Amino acid sequence: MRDMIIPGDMVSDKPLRIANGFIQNGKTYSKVLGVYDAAERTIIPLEGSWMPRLEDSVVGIITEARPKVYIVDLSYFGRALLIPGKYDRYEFQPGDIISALIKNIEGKNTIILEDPKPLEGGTILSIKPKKIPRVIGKKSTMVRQIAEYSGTHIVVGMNGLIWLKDGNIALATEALLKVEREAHLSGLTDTIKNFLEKNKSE
Amino acid sequence: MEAIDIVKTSYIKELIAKGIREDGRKANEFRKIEIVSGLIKNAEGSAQVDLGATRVLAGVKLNLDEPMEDTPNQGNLVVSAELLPLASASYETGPPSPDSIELARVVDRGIRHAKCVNLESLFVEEAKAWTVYVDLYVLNYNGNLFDAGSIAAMSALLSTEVPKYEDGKVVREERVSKLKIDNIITSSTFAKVGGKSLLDPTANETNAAYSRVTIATDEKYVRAMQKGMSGGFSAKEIEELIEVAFNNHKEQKDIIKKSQK
Repeated sequence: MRDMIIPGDMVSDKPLRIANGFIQNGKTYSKVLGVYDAAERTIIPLEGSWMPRLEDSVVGIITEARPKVYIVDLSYFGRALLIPGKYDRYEFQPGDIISALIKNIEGKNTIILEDPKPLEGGTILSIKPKKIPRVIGKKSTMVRQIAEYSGTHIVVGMNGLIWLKDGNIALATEALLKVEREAHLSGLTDTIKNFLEKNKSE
Repeated sequence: MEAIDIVKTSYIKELIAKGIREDGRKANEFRKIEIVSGLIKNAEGSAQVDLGATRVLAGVKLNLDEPMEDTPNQGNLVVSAELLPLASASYETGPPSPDSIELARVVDRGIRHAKCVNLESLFVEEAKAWTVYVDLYVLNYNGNLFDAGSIAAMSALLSTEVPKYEDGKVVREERVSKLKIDNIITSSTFAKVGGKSLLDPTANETNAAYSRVTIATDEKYVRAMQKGMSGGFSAKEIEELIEVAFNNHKEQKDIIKKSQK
């Protein structure tokens, strides 16, 4: 059973240490507008900005190439830098798309990236970052299913940017946006499967 | 331009080279048009137009003013446009931007030169005539504001009712007659990407384009044109585009008329 909650709503009368919640007088309240899943004891926010975590895989666009550092656009309020190591042999131009891992977060809002992989051609789709876990799905079932039906290469970044190339990009985009819109509903994997099967033949 | 726009621009060019558009349309195909007229009760006329994801709201207000000195027995038409920050990340508050002025001028020119509003009918008495204010508000931007604006302005004008005028006073609660509209005009905007002219360009296609032309037509004549951006069109291309614009007018005129009950 899932209930809509607004900030300040009591989700449990026991103190629970859960994300997006706070404890007051031994009871748990929600910090966000979202959905509360009582069975799994999680608060799923509907909106919100992306909070980077170490080892997150992200998709970004190089905006500036300086002698010893690349500045990367992750559609994030802070800065993201890619510092080539001694043995790295890659070279990027502004406008290149990369996927990379977060190596470190310096201060409050500077992200240091590592292990970049160039993504050539294709396009980028921007999705609300809080919906990304739903786009990936459990054991990445959702994104695999979309990639299979549309024949598209898909790379999902935790920051909300998704890279798409080849195949039926229009179908993949439509499916991804459908996931974003209906992320709070249950049984989504099956809904998307039906949607893909229906639209594939056309 | 932001980094993501650069990526999308190169993607659009890649697709155009293969002969496909971003949303799978043909080169001379319009997006779906949805018109809701008479949305605002306090305005004398109004219409909201959805052109794909682009949304424009038009409102018409009639005020009793003095006529211009050179046309003492005519009313006036004023079109203005506002690009709300709500519509796109690149729009900001403040004085009117060149884009919003251009939008207002292009829509105004089409309506004015096709003589859509019967200005003589707006004359009330000595030194008094109605001035028709058409205000366009862009609520969401996804390219092609000119055509969406023209359709919105035209639909709003068609739904306009003139308020009652009695003993030197305007009674706004009572409306006596429909505003007299003689002609219907629509416009067709083309953006040229990779040597191909695309009708009804989206925001990404506009970013990728290097030249743009807007052709405003009624049933018989080309009434106004506006060319934008640095690139050009050949005379032969323009002739083809005018042909497309005339075909387009027929379809859109029906849609506009249908929206008026």
